[in-house]
Amino acid sequence: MTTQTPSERRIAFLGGRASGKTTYMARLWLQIDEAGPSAPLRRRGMLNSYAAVNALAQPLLSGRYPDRTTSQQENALQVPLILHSAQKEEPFTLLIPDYDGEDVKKLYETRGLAWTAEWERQKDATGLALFVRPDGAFLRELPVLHPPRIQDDSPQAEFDTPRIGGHQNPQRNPRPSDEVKIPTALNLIELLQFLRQARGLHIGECPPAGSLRIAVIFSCWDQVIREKGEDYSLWNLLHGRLALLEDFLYSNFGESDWRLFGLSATGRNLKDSPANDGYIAEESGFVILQDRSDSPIVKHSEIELPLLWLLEGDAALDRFKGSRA
Amino acid sequence: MSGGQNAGGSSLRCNNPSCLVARTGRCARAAEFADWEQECPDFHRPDAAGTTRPTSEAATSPSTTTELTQSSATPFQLVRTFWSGDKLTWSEGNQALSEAPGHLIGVIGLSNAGKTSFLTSLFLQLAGGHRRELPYRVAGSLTLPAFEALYERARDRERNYSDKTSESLDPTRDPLFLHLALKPESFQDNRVIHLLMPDYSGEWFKRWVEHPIEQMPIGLKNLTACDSYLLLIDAPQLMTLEGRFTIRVLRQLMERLGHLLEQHPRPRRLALVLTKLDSDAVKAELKEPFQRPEDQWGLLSHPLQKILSGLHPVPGHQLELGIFGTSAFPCALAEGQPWGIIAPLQWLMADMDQLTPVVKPAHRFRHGPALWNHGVQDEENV
Repeated sequence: MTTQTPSERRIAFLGGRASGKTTYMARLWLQIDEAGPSAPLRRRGMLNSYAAVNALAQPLLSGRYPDRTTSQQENALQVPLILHSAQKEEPFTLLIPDYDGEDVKKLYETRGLAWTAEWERQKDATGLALFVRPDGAFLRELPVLHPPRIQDDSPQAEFDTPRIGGHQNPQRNPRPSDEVKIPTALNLIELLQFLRQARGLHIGECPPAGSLRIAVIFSCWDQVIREKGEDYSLWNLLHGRLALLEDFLYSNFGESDWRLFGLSATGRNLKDSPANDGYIAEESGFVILQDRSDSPIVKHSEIELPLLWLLEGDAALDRFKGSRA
Repeated sequence: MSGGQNAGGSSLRCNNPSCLVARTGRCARAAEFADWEQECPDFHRPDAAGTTRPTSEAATSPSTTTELTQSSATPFQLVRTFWSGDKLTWSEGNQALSEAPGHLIGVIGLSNAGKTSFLTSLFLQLAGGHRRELPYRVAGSLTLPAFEALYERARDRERNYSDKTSESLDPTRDPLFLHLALKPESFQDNRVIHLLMPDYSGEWFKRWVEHPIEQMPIGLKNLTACDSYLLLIDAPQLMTLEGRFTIRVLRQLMERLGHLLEQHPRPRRLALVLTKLDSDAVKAELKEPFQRPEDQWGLLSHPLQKILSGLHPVPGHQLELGIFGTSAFPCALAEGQPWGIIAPLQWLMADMDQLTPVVKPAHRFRHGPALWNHGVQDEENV
C-alpha cells in the first residue's frame, strides 16, 4: 500500500435556498468524524478549528436541522482526510464551501457583479454537487413518458441512438394534451456555464474525463418516498422537471462524469417528529442510486457515497456493491 | 492563420485565428457585412494570379474577437465579465458564431405575425426536452434570462393578452439576437452548432417595403448574411377583408427579399410558417403533416401562391422553400402542447447537417471515432 503527499480537493455544493446543502454537510461531518479505520474516508489528524463543524453538528445531534447558511456566514468544511482504497491511501484536504442559496440567484441576476473571489476559486473544483429539492411543483403529477417514435433495429442505429448513461430520452414526443413545461434550475445552469467559462471551456466542450464530476443530488428523498413510493425513479424527475439541465449535462460532460443521487441526510423530516424520540443523527439517512431509467433503484445507508463518487468516480460505487440499506 | 479546403473545394484563408472559413466556408464576422467576401478585412481573396491577400481595410477595422481576446487576457483583471444574458448584439453574436459552426436564421414577418411567440414556444419545447425528431439537444445559451423574460411574458399573456416586440421599433437600431447552442443527439457526433435568431421588429419589414429600396432599415441590412430564413405569416389574418392588403404587402416583402438574395446568391432554405392555425377561420388546417406543398393548404393555398410569386427572381436551387403550419399557444401552457413548432427548425437544421463537418470526438464517446460524417471530411479524422 502506498501513501501520497497531501493534496487539496475542492468540492463545491451548489443549489438554491433550502435545497439541503448545509444539512448534508453536517451529516457528512458526523459520518467522517465517527469513521472507523476501515472506512473509505476518515480523518487525518486534528482540525485547525472545530468551530465550524460543531456549529453544523450540534443542531443535528439535537434532532434539529442546522441553521441555513446566510451570506454573512459561511459554513465551510475544511477537513484533512485520508481516502482509503485497497491499493493506496491518499491523504488530502477536503474543502467544501457552503453558500447562501440566495447567492446563486443573485449571480444569475447581477452576473459578474456578484462573482466573488470565492466563486473564482470554485472554478478549480474537481466535483460539483448540485442540490435540487424536489417538492411542490416538482412532485406534481408528471406527464406520462413516451418512448421515441422511431424504432430502428439496424446496426447503424445502434451507433446513432441517443444515450444518456445508456438511456434513451423518452421525452421527445409529448401527447397534445401534455402540459408545456416551464424550465427550472435556469440559475444553476447559468452558474455551471459561468464556472465552465472561468475554466476556459467552450460550450459543448467536455472537460477531460474525471477532471470535473457533477452529482445531481435530489435532497429530501424521504419526502419523495412518502408521496410517490419507494420505486420512484430519479430519471423520471430529471426528464420531467429538469429536461434543460439534462440536455446541458449530456452535451457538456462525459457520460461517466455526471450521476444522479437521491438523498435523505436525516432519513425523515425532523420538523415532523419530537427531538428526543430516539433519533440518532449519526445512523440516519440514506442515498438512492439508479444507473439509468430502466435500472433498479438501490438504497444505500452510506451517506458519504455522493462525496466519494465526486472524488473517485464510478470506482466509489464498487466499494458498496451488494450493500443495501 | 487558418487554411484549407472549404465545402465547395476552393481554398479559403483568413487572418482571424477564430475564423473557420477554411473548414466551413463561413466567415466568423459574416453578420457584420452585407457581403463578407468583399468586405471582411481579415479574409484573403484570390487575386488575378491566384494568390490570396487580406484587404487594406484590415488596419482600420478592428476585430471584435481580437479585442475581446485581449481584454479577457488582462492579467490584472479583478472582475470576471460574463455575457449579460440579454439578447446579443451583432458583435456578441459574431463572437458566438466564430466558435462555429454557426447558423444565422433570419426571422421575418410583419407586425403581429407571431415571430416572438414562435421563438418563445420553440425555446419552451427544446428546454422541456420535447424535440420530436430534431436530433439535437440544448448544449447551452448565452441568452437564458432573455428566453426566461419571453416565456414569463407568455405566461402573463394567459392572464392579460398583450404582445409586441416593443423594444425594436426604432428602424435605426441594430437587431438583437437570441442564442442557442445545440449538440447532436447522436453520441458519434461532437459538433456544437450556435444558432442565432434575430428578434426583428415587424415594423422594419413594413418600412422596408414602403420606403425607397436604398432606405432599407439598418437593422435589416444583414439579412443577406443569414444562412436560412423563417418567414412567419398570420394565417387567420389572410382570410379577413384586410387580409387582401396584407397578402399584397407580403408579396412586396418577398419581392424585396428575392431581390436581395438575387444580389447575394448562395443556397439557402426558407421556411414559410403559417401561424395561429388554432384560430377558427383556419382551424381545418391544424393537422399533420405540418409541412405540405403550397397547393395543399385549403383556403390558404391561393393567398400563399400569391405571396410566393414575389420570390420568382430567385432560382429554386438557391432558395429551397418549405411551408409549415403552426400554433405556438393554442391553449393555456398547462393544458396542452403547441403544434408544429419544431418541424420548421428541424427542416432548416437538416440543411445545415449536409454542410458542416464532424469534428474530432471527445471522450464522452466511448465507442471510438466517428464512423460517418456529413459529406465533408475533417482533416484530423482522415
